[in-house]
Amino acid sequence: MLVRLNHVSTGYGSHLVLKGIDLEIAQGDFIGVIGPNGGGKTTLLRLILGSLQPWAGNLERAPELKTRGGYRIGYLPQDPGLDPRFPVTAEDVVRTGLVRGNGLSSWRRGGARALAALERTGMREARGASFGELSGGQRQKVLLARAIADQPLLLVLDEPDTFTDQRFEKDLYTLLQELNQQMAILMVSHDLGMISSHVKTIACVNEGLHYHRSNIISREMMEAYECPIDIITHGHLPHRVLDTH
Amino acid sequence: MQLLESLFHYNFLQNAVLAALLASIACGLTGAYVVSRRMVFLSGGISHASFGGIGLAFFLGIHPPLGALVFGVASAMLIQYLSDRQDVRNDSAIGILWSAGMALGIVFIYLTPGYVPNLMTYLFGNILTTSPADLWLLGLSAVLAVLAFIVFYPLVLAVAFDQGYARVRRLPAGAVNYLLMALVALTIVTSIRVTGIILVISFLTLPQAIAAIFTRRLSGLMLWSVALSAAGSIGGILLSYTLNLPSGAVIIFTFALMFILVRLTWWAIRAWARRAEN
Repeated sequence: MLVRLNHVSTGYGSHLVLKGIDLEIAQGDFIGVIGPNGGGKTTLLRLILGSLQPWAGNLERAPELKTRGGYRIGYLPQDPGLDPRFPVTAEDVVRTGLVRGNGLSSWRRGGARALAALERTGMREARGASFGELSGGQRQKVLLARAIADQPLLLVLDEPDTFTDQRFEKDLYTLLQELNQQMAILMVSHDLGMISSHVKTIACVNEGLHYHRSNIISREMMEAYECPIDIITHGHLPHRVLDTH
Repeated sequence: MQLLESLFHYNFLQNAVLAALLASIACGLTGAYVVSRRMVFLSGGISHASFGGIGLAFFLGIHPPLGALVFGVASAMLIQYLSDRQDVRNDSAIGILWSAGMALGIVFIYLTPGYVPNLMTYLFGNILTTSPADLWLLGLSAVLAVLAFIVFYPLVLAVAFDQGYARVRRLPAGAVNYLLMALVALTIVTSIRVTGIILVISFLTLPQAIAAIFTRRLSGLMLWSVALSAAGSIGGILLSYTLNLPSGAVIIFTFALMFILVRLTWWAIRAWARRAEN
């Protein structure tokens, strides 16, 4: 077990977003998180990342997940709204993912690890390029390298496939399969076709959380949680069946 | 030759060159940060708000730079606080401090009995009248800027580039913001004697705009800015002395000229390279 949520409720201000949810993330997991907009997907990620505290219930993290001043959780935010004119190279972006303390010692040691992370996401060639001059997909790969540079045990991705093209999506899922050998992955996505053919299990968040250890989206899930589901098939059938739900 | 002789001969010219060098270090470094984080308008706000402190200091009969320092740092902290709370529009807050500070300064100077000396110096700067006290203050901000950006460079880069991610990683983003805001205010206020309230922005933006052509990194932007700022401001001082024109204005003309020349050269090289490719 890496993270365990036990009847956790939380929200913003006086607005309750997640109500009494249970979820357990273990080593080797690859969980796809789906659910309607405003249903609390990003809130769930923030809870797990530790930037939001539970109002009620219990959130446990494994001791090996804790590190000096933080958690060994990598994070790829959804559209982080970065300034494309900020003077920074791809390599330096990845190195900021290794900064601890005042950063000076981690910065000196960071070069090799940053390059290794860029290598894994296929962006080593572009290490000296200006971050702002990269394409949307390339930027995502650099930010993914930043997320894995510190060797996290859990990787959290918030809709990594928005603003990118199909080729990037294919690369991304191949890459995530590889990364899943070393770390658990929790990924929010709109693309249910992609999600159900790549993840191991699916959780549906809509105030509550419905989770069963399978990557089949059941009718029960759709009905109980009003998840905007347009696929439910697997196997030999055509891969995408639109369901007027 | 005569210029060099005067430089060795006159103490005030030596002070001016030293002041230009120190201001270039302080403003070159913090200006690179200011430009990268798009805080130029904010810096203008701090600079103008500090005029309230200058007016108050005249009225109370204390050292004007001291009043400027208190007002400059206080308004910087206030702007940072308001932008963290997010219930006041950041640019509105800056606009209010900008104009209210100036208004306060004008009222206090009006209330001060007798003639107020050096008022123009604070508005437009006069590097040729730099005193040893000014030099010490400038030296202090230069040293603090160098120390801050060496010791905290990775942290500053992480927070400046992606504050949200820095917070998720539990980096002290709030402390970095406040610390650098104070440094920006200190740099601006100590440079006012050299450049004036109205022209200090040029030291924080023009060398950086030229430097941006030569580098892709924040650290590179910082180093290039210091070098270009030193070259432009010392060149400007010598030019203003030779032509007998106001130093602040001539320095900025020198910067602007450098900017145009470098840009034109850059475009020419790129156009030539593109033609060579085809």
